[in-house]
Amino acid sequence: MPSTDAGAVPAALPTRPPRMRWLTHPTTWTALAGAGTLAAILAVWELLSRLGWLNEFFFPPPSLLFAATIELIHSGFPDGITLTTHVLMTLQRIVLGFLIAAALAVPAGIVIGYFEILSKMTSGIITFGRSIAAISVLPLFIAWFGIGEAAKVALIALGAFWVIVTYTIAGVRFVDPLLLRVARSLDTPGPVIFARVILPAALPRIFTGLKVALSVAFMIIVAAEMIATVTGLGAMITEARTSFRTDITMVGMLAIGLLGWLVSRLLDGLEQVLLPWRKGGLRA
Amino acid sequence: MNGLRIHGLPDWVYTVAGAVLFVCGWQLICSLHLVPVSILPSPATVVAALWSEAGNGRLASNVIASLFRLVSGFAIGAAVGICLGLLAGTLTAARAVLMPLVELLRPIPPLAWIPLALIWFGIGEPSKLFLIALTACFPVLVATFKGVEQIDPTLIRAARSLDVPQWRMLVKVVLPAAMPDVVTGLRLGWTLGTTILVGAEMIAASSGLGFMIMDGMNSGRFDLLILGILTLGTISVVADGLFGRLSRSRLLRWHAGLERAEA
Repeated sequence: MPSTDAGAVPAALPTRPPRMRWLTHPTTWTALAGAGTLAAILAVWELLSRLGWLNEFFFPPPSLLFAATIELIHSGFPDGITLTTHVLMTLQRIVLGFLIAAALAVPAGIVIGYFEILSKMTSGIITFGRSIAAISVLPLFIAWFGIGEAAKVALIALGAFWVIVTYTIAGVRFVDPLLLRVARSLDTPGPVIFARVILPAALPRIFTGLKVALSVAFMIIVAAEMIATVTGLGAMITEARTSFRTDITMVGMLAIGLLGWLVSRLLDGLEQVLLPWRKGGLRA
Repeated sequence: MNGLRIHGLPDWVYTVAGAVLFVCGWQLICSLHLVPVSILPSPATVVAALWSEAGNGRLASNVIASLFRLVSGFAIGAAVGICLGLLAGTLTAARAVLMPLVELLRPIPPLAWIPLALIWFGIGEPSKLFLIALTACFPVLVATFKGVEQIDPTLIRAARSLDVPQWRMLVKVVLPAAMPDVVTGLRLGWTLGTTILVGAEMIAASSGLGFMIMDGMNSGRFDLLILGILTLGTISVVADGLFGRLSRSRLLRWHAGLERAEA
């Protein structure tokens, strides 16, 4: 899923004095209005539930969700596994699978992108591989890797691999020809061109690939955790359903969403620091 | 561009050659018994499975069951997404209510809705339709909203000065102008919808490609399992190609800047 900024906001008014500018900045008002709307929706939901118009099992009111959150943090669910443990397990699987995918896909993508014949020969396989929903491979991976951690990590690695390799190939192949011609006309040796021109020029696209891959990983983790485990947020929401705890299911869903959002923000920040030459860069 | 440069043969020759090499490598691994054939059937076995499943009609009925769910859920989700997106894009009040909710719910991965859908609708068809519709709805809604927001104001002013009534404006000006974004949203919605379809069919179904894959695992028929995966992949490739063609078609012919979105 592509990440969205909080609405398309016009540029800030340049004539304002710098202090307190956030007060008049449109983003602040958009955020405030959004928070107000959400608060209103929650209030109406709670009210309807108190009046008995909404079934508490199907639509647990915000107060119950809040209580469930407290319960998850302190006593945990299921079997005393706290929210922190679930979050850490989910993160561990995602990071592990993601790192394996990146370690394989970035070098592979660089090699394929560098040699035109390789990129032509692999284009069909990569397009097809990317089109295969990772979740459909889950049963196969269970047979290959067992029902333990390996199958879960491998599934995330598989889903992330196709995305990263696609973006890396594109990054290497679509380097501005002008940059290359300049480097060649200065008699730069091949390896230096590669390290100092091609790679830096390809990095923004590779980074975009890593970001997209991470959102894919967050999608796959839920499926991976539905199999034979009680730890992780995906397992938590599945367990909660079978024990008829709709409130915990909902809290778990929101927790996964929040976690994914936080991690993608983190990568955005990292990109600003690591790739400062990518001013107003390309969008995925 | 760089590295090895080749001339002459058209691109597809290399693509086909690459695919053939891949399949030959796979067959070789199986023929030399590098991995147990029980967990990685050879391409020949998968083709044999395709032959027999296509012959007895089970493949066709699974494909039809999956496509029926996907198309009907997608149609509902896309229609709701386009309507809400237009509403949020044109009415400030609708935007104030809808968009915060969308921003809150959209980061939730579609597959995480499965338990809630099972609670709300049980394990039958309605929960599958709900899941696919919901999954397809979000990208379509957001894309439509963005498309409407970025319409050239000159278009709207020109239409207003010609006294075009509100409803006509929506259908004849706003929607066509936002169409490229809508198609992008539809494409993403379809892709995500396929994923959620497989997930839903794996958990509870007695037909469809997700069921075929799950059934292949449970009965140890890995040739059927791989056939299911490959069939799903083929459907996705074809659908994505159709969406790509749609975005370049007559429907969008007035958009000069489309190549930019395609790149």
